[in-house]
Formats: sequence, structure tokens, C-alpha cells
Amino acid sequence: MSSVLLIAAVAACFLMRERQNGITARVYLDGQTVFEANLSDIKEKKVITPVVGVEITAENGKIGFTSSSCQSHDCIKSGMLSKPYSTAACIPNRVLITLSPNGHTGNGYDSIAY
Amino acid sequence: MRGFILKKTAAVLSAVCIIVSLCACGSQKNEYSSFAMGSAVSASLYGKDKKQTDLLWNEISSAVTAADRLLSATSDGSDISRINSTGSAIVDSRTVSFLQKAVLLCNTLNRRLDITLGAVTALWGFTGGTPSVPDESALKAALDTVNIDGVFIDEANRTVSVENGQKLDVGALGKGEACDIMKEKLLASDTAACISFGGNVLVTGENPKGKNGEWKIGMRDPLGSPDEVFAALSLKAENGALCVSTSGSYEKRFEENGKSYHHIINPDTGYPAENGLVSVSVICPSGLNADALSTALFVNGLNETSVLWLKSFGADAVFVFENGTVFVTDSICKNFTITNTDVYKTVSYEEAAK
Repeated sequence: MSSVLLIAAVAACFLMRERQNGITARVYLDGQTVFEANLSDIKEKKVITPVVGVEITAENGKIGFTSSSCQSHDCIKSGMLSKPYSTAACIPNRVLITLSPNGHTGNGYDSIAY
Repeated sequence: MRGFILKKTAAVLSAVCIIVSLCACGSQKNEYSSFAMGSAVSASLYGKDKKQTDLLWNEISSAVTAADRLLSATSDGSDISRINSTGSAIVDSRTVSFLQKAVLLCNTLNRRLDITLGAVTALWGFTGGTPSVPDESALKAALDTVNIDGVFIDEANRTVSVENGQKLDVGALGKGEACDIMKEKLLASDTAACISFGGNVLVTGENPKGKNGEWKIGMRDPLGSPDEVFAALSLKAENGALCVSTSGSYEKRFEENGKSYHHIINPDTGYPAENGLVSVSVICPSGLNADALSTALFVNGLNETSVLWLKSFGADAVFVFENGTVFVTDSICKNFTITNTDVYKTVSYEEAAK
């Protein structure tokens, strides 16, 4: 019984550590999550089309707008994001990309002021 | 005997590990996003019941959207648009209340912030996405309409009128007002949260994951790339909530004929304020006051009047200059750390203000 508990405890601690690593990229369309992935898990180029006219590319630990039907293209100008707490938004198309660090925030930021 | 002790120890340790891992899941972080007032909103609300935080977020989102519909200068049919197009309009009582606060702020801050700057800001074109330097005579004519005394608010009849040719631009205050709306709902439900609203940051309650309940806020590097941070600020919302509002010359910047222009306009000249600052971040329990102060301080620069304003509003600030020097008001000095010491250094008021 003690062995079972010990194995379960070690497994729980290991799983917690796993969740604490990496950066989660999320794509929102009108407030709804349409894509979510650990950025380091994305090895091959992945193209996400949250809405017609908007293309987001994730590759090699980076994610960003690569095509948009909006006029200003401010979203594309934000570039490819890779750092935690980075965001890029296509406001006319109501699409948002956020990068959040996994796990506890003791070593990172809760938000960025700009 | 030894084997028995080892087994007992293993059992206790296992139980402790399991309890710790379960306890860490108590207050969940729920993430949300939306758009309002031309800005992206990212929110983290902490709670044990996700359904309840979902409901709370929907309520908050609806309230902010409602405010956006009243105050947006670019949405046809908003209260501000109707005032601007006809010179006078019957408006929502919330708009009356907001404009009363806005006019008071403009006067208190020596008109370093002026909501009647609309005709001037329209000429610069920052909102449209294709800014350019306006024609000098057109700018002079627009500047002649800037006068906060021209705004007349009839509270009883919910009517707001402006002088002939005047246009209201409340862009400098909208996000702060939205932060206050969100703050009230979060405090009423005793919910810890951290929300980024187009760069304004609102924190409520104690951070369940933070050291001593503090929220750790990174400050964007005003002289570097958009995803770089130059300093960290630890905030503890002792009065329940704190808002951080930043006015920076790095946003909406453009170049024309070899000269760089930013969007924070001096109401006296009609041109971007130039006093050596690249950003001013204000920390205050009120989002509206934080917004108003960050703009007014950027225009006014660092001087005794600016310091007096901060004290009278119960606010603190971080002033960042083009040469990398940084002045931080006393109360938050110990909570502020420069992380990019290659470029930035904190200096005294005397050195910063000279």
C-alpha cells in the first residue's frame, strides 16, 4: 500500500513539473479559444485560420499573423512571437494571440504594462 | 522494525506529496479574452468554481462592451459620435457621469489633458491608421476649438453640448474607465484577477500564486522591441485594486521628412509633447485617474506640479526618459526593479527633473 502511495505521489509531482514547463500559445476569435498548444511541441509548420481572411503560422517555437484582410496589417507587423506574455491582435477581425508561461508565476510576470 | 519505520515514513511522505499537489489545484486560474475600445483584453480570473468565473467574465465583458458603445468616437450612434456630429445630444446617464469626471480631471490637471482635442487629433489621423503631419493653418484652426470650458453638461436633462466646431476625443480615458467598471464587479465578487486591457493593467485582490500575494508586472521596454521588458513592478492591491496606465511615445509613432512624431498631443501647441520623456506609467487605485494622469504627466513633464498631482490622487509613477534615466516615486521604489541595467538606471528627482 505504501509503495502504491509513493508511486502515485512521485507521478503527481512529476506531472506538476511537466505542466510548469513551456509556453502555451492561444488563439482567440471573439473571446473563444480556437487554438491552444504548447509552443515547444509544435515542430512542423502549422497554419491556423481562425476566420476567413486571417492566417496564423506556428513554427519552430514561434507564432504570429502571416496574412490578414485588415487594412493596417498591424497584426502582421507584430512579427513572430516567442516570449511569454507577448500578444498580437487583429482587432478588425477580432483575433488575438497570447503566449502564457505554464505553471506558477513566481518566476515570471502576471502581465505586461505598455 | 527498521522495515516498519521505513514503510511508515514512505506512507507519510506520499500522503504529504499528494495533499500538496491537490492543494495547489485549489484556486484555479481561468483565462479569458475579448476586444473593446479598439484594444485586446486578456484576463486571468482566479476561482475554485470555473462556472462562476465564466459567468462573472461574461458580466464584465458585457458591461465593458456597453461602455464602449456609449464612448467610442468611431462607432456611429455612440453618445460621443452623436455629440460630435450634431454639437449637442441627449445621452445615457453613464455618459453624463463619465464626462463630468473627465471635465473635472481636465481642469484639475491644468488642461495638460483635454477631451476637446478631437478636431486636432482627427487631423493627425492616429486613429485611422495612416497618420501624417497636418497642414499648419488647418491645425491652427482646429487648435482654436480646443477649450474644455466649451463643454456644457445638463445633468437633469442628460444633454451634452459643445461649442461650434468642437470635437470630443475621450480616447485617453476610455480604457481607464473600462478598468474601473471591471474593478467594481471583481471587488463585489471578491475575485482575484489580473487583466491587461490594451496595455493598461488591473489587479484585484491577492495573487494566489504570487509571493506574499503580490502581482508581478513587467514593464515594456520603451526604447527596445515590443516583446522586451525593461523593469519589474511588484504590486499588492491593499485597497482591493490597483491600475497601471502607461502613456508612451513608442505607440503609434510615424516618421515624415526625417522627423519622428508620436500621438500624445500637447493641447497648447497641437503638436506631440516634447520634454525628453518616452513613457510615464501611473499606478493608482482608480483606472480613470491613472489614465488621466499618465497622459497629463507625459505632456507636463517631470516637475513639482506633476509630483503634487500624484500625491493628491494617491498615485505613484515611473518616468522614463529618452536617455535611459528613470525616476520612480518614493512609495514604489522598493517594489520596482530595473531588469535591463545595460540601458536604464534610476536617478533622483533632482537629476531627472533638471
